[in-house]
Amino acid sequence: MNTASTFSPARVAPNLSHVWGGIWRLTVRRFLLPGHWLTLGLGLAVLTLLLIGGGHSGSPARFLDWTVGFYITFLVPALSFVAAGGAMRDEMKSGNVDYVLTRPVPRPAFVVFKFIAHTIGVQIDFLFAFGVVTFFAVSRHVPDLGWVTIKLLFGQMLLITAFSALGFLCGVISSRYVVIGLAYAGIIEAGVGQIPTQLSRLSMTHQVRDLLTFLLGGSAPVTSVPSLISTTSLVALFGVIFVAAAAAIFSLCELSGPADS
Amino acid sequence: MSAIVQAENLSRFYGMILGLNNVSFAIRPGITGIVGPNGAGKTTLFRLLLGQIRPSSGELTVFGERPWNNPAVQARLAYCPESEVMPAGLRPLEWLSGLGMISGLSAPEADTRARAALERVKLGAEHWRKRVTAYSKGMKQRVKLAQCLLHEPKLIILDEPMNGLDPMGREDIAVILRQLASDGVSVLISSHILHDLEALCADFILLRWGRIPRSLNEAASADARARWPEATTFRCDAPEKLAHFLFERELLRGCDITPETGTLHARWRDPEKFFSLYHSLLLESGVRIFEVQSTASFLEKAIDPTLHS
Repeated sequence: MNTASTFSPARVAPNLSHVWGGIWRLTVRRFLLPGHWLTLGLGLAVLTLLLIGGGHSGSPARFLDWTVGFYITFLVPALSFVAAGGAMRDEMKSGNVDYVLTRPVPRPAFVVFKFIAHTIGVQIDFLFAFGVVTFFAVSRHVPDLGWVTIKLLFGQMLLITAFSALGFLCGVISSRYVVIGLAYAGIIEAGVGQIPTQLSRLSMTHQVRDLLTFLLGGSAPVTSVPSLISTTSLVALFGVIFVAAAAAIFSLCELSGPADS
Repeated sequence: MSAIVQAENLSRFYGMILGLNNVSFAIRPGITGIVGPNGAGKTTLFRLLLGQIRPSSGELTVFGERPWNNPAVQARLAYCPESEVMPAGLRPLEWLSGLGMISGLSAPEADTRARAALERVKLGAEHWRKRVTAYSKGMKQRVKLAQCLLHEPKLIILDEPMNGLDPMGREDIAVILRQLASDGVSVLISSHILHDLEALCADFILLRWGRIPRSLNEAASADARARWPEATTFRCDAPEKLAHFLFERELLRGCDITPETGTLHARWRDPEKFFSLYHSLLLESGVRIFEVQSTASFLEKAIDPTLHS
């Protein structure tokens, strides 16, 4: 049975920088599809309506509260999660599995590269949304707009990365990743995150909301004074753990079912 | 010649559903056909070979290594699936160069090889600006085959590559596969177009209900294929006259005549005797022959027990 010596040794493992290039090319094309731009356009229109409705009346402070409390820590994480979960499920469909994952790319490398490429695309998408938010911030005469914009953008990018990672993990686990996401949101973000103890640091949105509120001149939470470095490190650590778990699970899972047999 | 694929008591179950059941076989270099009805286990076998699923029990090696999740094996394989699902929005060059890079090629090399592969499968450059999802079935088959050629695999696995192709297209694919085989690339191919497989393949594995029945595979063995057909159908202007002529020479064991279609279905007493004198006998009969065909191919006979009997 042992015929290993009969065959020439396997070719060297593929150059991972080339693999990254290939995954980037195939991923970024999806962001250039007309359908994607149409969806983005509709999303921006809805966001504009929400901004008109949610932040129309009141002071700049109320506008910032709405932006941090609804846009940055609810809308951005939710949409990032759904987009990432969908992207990962797409990769697990036969149309992609048969062409991409039959090639000699280590599966953990595939997940990591796919995550990076996808997250870059989503970050760019949300820059358009952030542009709309900034436009309304200008129209509300938000003071010290430059610094406020940088802080809000940082919070947006941090949460996109973290919730894309969570979306990848849930997408790898199940096709019903939205259900898992809702359970996570209910237990961690809406449940544990509201408990005024250190446990609330498990909630990524809670941490970023506290940080942004503090940085924008609001009051510090009861439990601790948020720090840019500790919050960023912790949320980034959650993201790394999610992606690592997704890569590990993806490496172990079989990629087809009995329907194909 | 060493087997490139070896399976010993290989089984794969999906819960209670049978995929492959305790099969043992070896695949030698060259073109090998995988034949069986729907649900016989062909795609399960392919997925095992590709390392996408694990065996439930038994042993499987491809190029001497276990294929499950093994990039060293995958580097030598290429797969052309039956499914026509393709990524949306991509043109063939974009798609193929991206896949080439995932196989480890640099961007310029992937681009060059993508062009060469598309030309090799005779997909004209005038079609390269269309998106692959807008292609016809036959064009999709050509692109799917092209993506197999990017990284110089040693074994290409093709699941129903002839689907949707016209006869010219099928011949084009057959020519490419023969060229690949002559270049030392092995090919594993499944198809429901059995005559094409017979013309193309040196070896066959016949699957049924997840098993490889010995009797079927003996019926499709090289020995069996070397034998003359046991029955032949002639379409001619005078089937009765031809039957009389063949009976007189004690060549026929029996026959059926259909005057409406002008066909004679001849069952040979000694097929070798007839086929050794094939031309002279038909000339001597004085009957105008329009068409001669073996009533059932050996593969059809092998997978259809009613024909076999």
